[in-house]
Amino acid sequence: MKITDIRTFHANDGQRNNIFLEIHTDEEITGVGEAYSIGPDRSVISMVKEMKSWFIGQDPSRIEWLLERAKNTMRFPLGQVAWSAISGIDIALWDIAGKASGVPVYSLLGGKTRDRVRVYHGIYGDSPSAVGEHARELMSEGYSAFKTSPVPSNWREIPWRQVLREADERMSAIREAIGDGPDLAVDVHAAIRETALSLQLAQVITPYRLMFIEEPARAEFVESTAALRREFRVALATGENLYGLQRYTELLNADAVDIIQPDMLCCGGLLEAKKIAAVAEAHYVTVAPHNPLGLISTAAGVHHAASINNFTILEWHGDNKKKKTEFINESWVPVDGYFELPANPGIGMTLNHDAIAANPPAHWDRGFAEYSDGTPGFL
Amino acid sequence: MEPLDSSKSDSNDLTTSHRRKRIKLKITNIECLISTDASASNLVYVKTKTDAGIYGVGEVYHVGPDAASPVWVEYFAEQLIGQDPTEIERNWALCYQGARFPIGSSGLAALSAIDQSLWDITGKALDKPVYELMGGRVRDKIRAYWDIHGSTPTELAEDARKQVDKGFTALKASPLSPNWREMRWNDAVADSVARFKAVRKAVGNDIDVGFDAHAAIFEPIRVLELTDALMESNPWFMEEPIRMENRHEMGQLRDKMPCAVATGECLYTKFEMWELIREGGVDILQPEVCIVGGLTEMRKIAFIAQAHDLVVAPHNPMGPLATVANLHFDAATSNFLVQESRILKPAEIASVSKVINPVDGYYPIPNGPGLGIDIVEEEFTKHPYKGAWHRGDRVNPDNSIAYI
Repeated sequence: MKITDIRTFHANDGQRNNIFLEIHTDEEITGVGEAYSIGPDRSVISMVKEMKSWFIGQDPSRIEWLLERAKNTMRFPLGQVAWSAISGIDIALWDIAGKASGVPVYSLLGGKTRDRVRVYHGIYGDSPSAVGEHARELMSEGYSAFKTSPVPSNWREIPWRQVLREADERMSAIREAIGDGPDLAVDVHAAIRETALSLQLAQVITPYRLMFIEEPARAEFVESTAALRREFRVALATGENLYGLQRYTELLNADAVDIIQPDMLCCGGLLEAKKIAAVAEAHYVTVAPHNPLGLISTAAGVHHAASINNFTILEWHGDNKKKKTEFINESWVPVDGYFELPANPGIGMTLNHDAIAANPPAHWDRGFAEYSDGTPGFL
Repeated sequence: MEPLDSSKSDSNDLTTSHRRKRIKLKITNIECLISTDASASNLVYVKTKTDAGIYGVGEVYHVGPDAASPVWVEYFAEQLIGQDPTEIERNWALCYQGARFPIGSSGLAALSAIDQSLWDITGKALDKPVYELMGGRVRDKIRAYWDIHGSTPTELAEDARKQVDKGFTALKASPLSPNWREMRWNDAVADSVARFKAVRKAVGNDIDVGFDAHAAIFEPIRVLELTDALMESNPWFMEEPIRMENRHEMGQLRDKMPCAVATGECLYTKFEMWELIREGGVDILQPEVCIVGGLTEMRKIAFIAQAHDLVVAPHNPMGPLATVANLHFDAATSNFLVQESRILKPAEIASVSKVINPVDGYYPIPNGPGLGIDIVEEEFTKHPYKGAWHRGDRVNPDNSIAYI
């Protein structure tokens, strides 16, 4: 089999853009992948186009060779654009491999280690009562694990003592809604600059028996993350915006993390994720894949989760209720908080080209976070 | 019982692909085949059978007290019968995590062979060579090094020349004379220097020559003295410079070593390999596929090594089946360096359907499906197990026990 073409697709899902790609072959098989939508999405699409000639005419089953070759020829360390392109291509190559063998992708990654994949659902709302209400609604849908922001959206503009009080009230409202049993995680989203303040926040919310606190510092600040973990009496999860085996290993070797959160769409793809998971396993660290984008991302996360021994839980945003569900032909919905493993060959999803064409991409950026004095913050 | 079902569809099957081929296999039995050859050495293989008729093969490291291996195979088989053999990672965890206490050499040897047999089955079920289940091949041929021997400098140099004439560009030898324990240390070092001057004179400076101290020297400082003295021969690496139990000391020694340190054949699983890497004790990892935990663990070790910019040169003193398992790993692993190879004994050659030998210093990429090799079972009936294999004892001149 030979690769004949790589095509990219770009669609707006009502909130942000999804970037899909298809790798075509000289046989009837086409592989589907998704790359991370980082904001400047067109750069990722351009990158895939620039890389295309490295893949055309090659045997798609040589995944490691094709990807190492692509990464090595770029010479300089890859950033978010190149890693996203590589990740999308990796997923599509595994889809081809699965379809060529007639088996789901997880069967080619060491076989399935579990029968179903547990997810946690995001809890949203700006007030304690709003998050409490959303949590109750999700409980009734069968979810048993959740994640929420510990602080209100205007936290940069209000006094820190007020942020801590409101964090306590939010967590209290959620626990009141869901009870003591369900798993509850908290996402700081690397927004707090000062590790001392991040630690204070963690100490306020730790009594709510959390599954983990995510990104209490920016993951690339390995020393800060490690310093926080030394103080934490709660699991520290991080890593969604790290790329490639080496950066995760750096984090793991610094004893900075309890749970890593690679994103299949930018960590390097399924093969890289398998490598990262092996290093994590040797450190007794579990994997909770990051998954905010399109549904191919969810599929890749499910296959990854199904194939590693140290998976813990997958992120899920209830995308079956969103517009992005139109972009794929298959319907994947978690039941009682778990995804059943797909049984069809490859990744198990195909693109709905009409729906994608009907939703052209729109400019998307995150906006800017500012403190009350106008200083740029992280978001 | 449904073997390869290409027609059935599930309720959640949304494709109409004609290629749809659900694997539905169950392990029905795992046999351990064991025989003793003319030189009192043992061959230990496993054969994992499924309800579809597909079976897989694997090689158990013959650790010495080899009667323990069939017992371990039987113990693991009790847990694995009824499981899907293509769920390799899960089956590995089922055996390993079910043991509670860390598994030692004989148990891991059995698990390693079973793991190889599961990769073999999965490859056969999908009609793919095993390396295609590992992300595909990253190279066209697989470089091999050959072990050379000789009790005198002249003998060693002659063997080196002979192998280079056959096309090998990479060799390995003991740095020490066979009777070094009876010599005064400085004499032993001087003798080593003479051995490798002879080798260099015979093959020139362009051939890669690694040294294997085989964990026989107890004092780290002596290894350093020896290696310093050998540097004029340009060693490729010094293998097992000291014993493997103390990873911290290996790290301390490597800091001072003037050439690359190769080690790891005696370490178990990714956990011990990671400990070695963390201590900075290694440049070239040498996992043993028949004892480290099989191909599944070899892969994870290679990933951890890759994350630390380290390369892997699989250890392989076992038989032709182990060689083929290694070759699939070598074909698929970016950070593979070189494959150990040696002359196979008649009993080993007779024990399998075919052997793969290096040609012009390289092994070819192995064929599938699966591992692409089969066991000749009659050989095991013809040459039954006669007892444990003993390495023999090594003593120092004062009759204290030496390392071997």
